[in-house]
Amino acid sequence: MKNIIKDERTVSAKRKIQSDTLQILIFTLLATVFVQKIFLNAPISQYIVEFVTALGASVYVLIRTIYLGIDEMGTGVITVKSLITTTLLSGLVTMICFAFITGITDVSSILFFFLCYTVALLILRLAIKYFTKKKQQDMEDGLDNDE
Amino acid sequence: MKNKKMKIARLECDMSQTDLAEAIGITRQTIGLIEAGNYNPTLNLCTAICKALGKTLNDLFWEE
Repeated sequence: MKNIIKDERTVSAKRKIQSDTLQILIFTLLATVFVQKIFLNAPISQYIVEFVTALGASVYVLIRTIYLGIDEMGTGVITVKSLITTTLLSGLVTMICFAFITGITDVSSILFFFLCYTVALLILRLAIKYFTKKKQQDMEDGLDNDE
Repeated sequence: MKNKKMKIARLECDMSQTDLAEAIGITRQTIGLIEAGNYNPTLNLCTAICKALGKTLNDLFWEE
């Protein structure tokens, strides 16, 4: 009986701390990229490592989440219509931020950014939805076979 | 909600929180938190506690 199990409370607390640390790290890396790009006008070579690291960590989290069949967008039913609506809203907000930060007033450039951003985000979100559903279906098929 | 059943069962076995924690292989704080109702243990841990105290899950963790 002795020492057959680990103290789950401390294990989960440690995992929570590590998870929080990762989020703080990613946020800090993105903040340093933002400061270097916007306020210091640094060349891309100056902050590319931070950017790639933050992006890589985010992609890793996303891939692991999909691999485990966890719905990144919540457990409720998410229709393609709601996905398009939220993506359009996100694109609109990002477009406004983009215009303010860069100071670009040319409408065609801003609209081009909006189009590219929204389409890329929509494709990404649809791909995430597709792969998550596929993984969940595989898991359900495995359970059905077991039964 | 405090888990008085677990505390009573532990005292019946003449064990301190530290003794029970050592028997199971967890920390005393976790035992204290479970008894105080501030931590919700997994089924795995509940089973280990029951085995250490010679009780069933119903005896210690079933609320009427």
